[in-house]
Amino acid sequence: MRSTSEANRPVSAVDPATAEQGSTTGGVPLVQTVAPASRRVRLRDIVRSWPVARVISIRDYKVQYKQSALGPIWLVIQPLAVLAAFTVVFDSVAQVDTSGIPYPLFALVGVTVWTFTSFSIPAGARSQIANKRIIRYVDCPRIAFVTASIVASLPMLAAPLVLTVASVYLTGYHLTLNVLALPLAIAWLLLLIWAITLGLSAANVRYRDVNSVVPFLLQGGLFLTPLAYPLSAVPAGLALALSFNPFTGVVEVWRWALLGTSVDMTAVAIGLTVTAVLVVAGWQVFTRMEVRFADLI
Amino acid sequence: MPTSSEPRFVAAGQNGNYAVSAEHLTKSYELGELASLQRTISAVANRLLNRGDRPRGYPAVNDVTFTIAPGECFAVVGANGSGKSTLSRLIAGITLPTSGFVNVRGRVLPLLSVAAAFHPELNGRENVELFGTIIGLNRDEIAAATAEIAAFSGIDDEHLATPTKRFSEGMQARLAFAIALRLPADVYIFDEVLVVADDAFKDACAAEIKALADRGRSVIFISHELPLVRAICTRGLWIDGGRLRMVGPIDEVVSAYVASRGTDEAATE
Repeated sequence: MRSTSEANRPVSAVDPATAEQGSTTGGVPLVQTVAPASRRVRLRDIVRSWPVARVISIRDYKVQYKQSALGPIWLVIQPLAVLAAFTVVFDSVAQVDTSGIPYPLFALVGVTVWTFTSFSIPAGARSQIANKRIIRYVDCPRIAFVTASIVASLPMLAAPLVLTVASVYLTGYHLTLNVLALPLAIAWLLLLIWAITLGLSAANVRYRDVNSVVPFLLQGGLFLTPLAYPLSAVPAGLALALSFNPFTGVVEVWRWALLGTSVDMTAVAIGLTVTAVLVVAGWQVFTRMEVRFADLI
Repeated sequence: MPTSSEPRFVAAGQNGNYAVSAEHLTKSYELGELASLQRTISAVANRLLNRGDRPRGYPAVNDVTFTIAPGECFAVVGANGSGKSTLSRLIAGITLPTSGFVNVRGRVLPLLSVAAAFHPELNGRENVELFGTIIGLNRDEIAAATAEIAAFSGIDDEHLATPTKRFSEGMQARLAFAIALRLPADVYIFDEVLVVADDAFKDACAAEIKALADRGRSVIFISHELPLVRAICTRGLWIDGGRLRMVGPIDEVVSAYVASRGTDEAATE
């Protein structure tokens, strides 16, 4: 991947003087060897490819609301619609116990996590396919497409988060010192999404089945993650099973940070372990498959 | 691309003065559907019956060795399906060879298809930034080239602020060429992209390609338009069925290629 490497110092096409210099002095362009390899992406490419990720994410964000009448207002409408549905089902019908916290406020945290998740995972899983032409016609750092899809999804996290914080104060509550841990909770969610989309985006290049699996996983996740109900309201055995869904731990930590609710440490420990496994697996799948993207896509 | 155990970049100089150097370059592709229900079933069946599931490989480029010097306009000629485009993808590092290797000195700018890296929803200027960033240029280099790109393509400011999906095909080609010719790189690859340009713009591009070579850049020019190939290039290779048939001065290569086509056509008639 040559794109963003500072080691690659080409001469300038505009100025013939630098061309002379380039071929005779220290500014000699370095040689890149294209040879058989089982993988070529390195960890540092994530950082090096940032300029590409930046441009692609701006593009994706712009394209998202082109020819849309409401544009970014959808960022607020979508979470509010899910919240309304949750409130009808779990507060009015099922009446879950949220230990004194008004139900809409309680559910809004889960809605925030899931709005971002259900937007960023399909976008991330499509990220290589969506940039098919670039992959086929230019040698580009393909890991940047995953980074870009997450960055372009960040407004889907920021908008409902602002809504949540506003709601905390509007309902007469206030944030506790737990909120200082919110950056860590956000980081966990982002790392998890990154690991999942890294693997899915690479698998999608060869097996379009991924596009069929993702909506189904997200639908299941909507109910099998304690978004609309507290984990403490679930029978112990089932709670342990739900903890193997890493989003369970994420939501627990988010609610602890924003609402000061109690946190199930077992769920957090299992969630962190599963996240670590997914990071390693996602990286392996991506780096192994990346060398063949242009052949398979 | 080197394996992770090797350094990705090695200092130039010890291997002679070349811009591109390919040795025993070979690339095989799988034939047939890569993933299908039928293939899954047959793979499972083969696994159960303990038979191997090796899809048949097709060598698109087969044991090709050649060198391109700095400042050289180098042609690649051959019939459709002879491996020209696979060769350009290998040089550009888009795909990796099955065996052999190619060394490329400096930055490669591949123009393998008109509007290849264009995003239809982005405007002209945004597409310049996108393409420039992808090939590894920084913002200053892109900004410096943007005005020249506008001037060379003859596309005015209003059009540059319009999504390229509303450009005509000819205008997209002009923009693509202007981007390719005005962004700084060391090795340029043009794969059959001048076909859609009008004659005047084609002449301008041909002159610019020669000017690139005069400034020490190397150009790989892939085309079926043999008169244009002769006008632009000084050396070239002829590839046939993935195998290198000839490499040398452009007149000899083109003449041999034309002669072989003549006999092929005569044979089929």
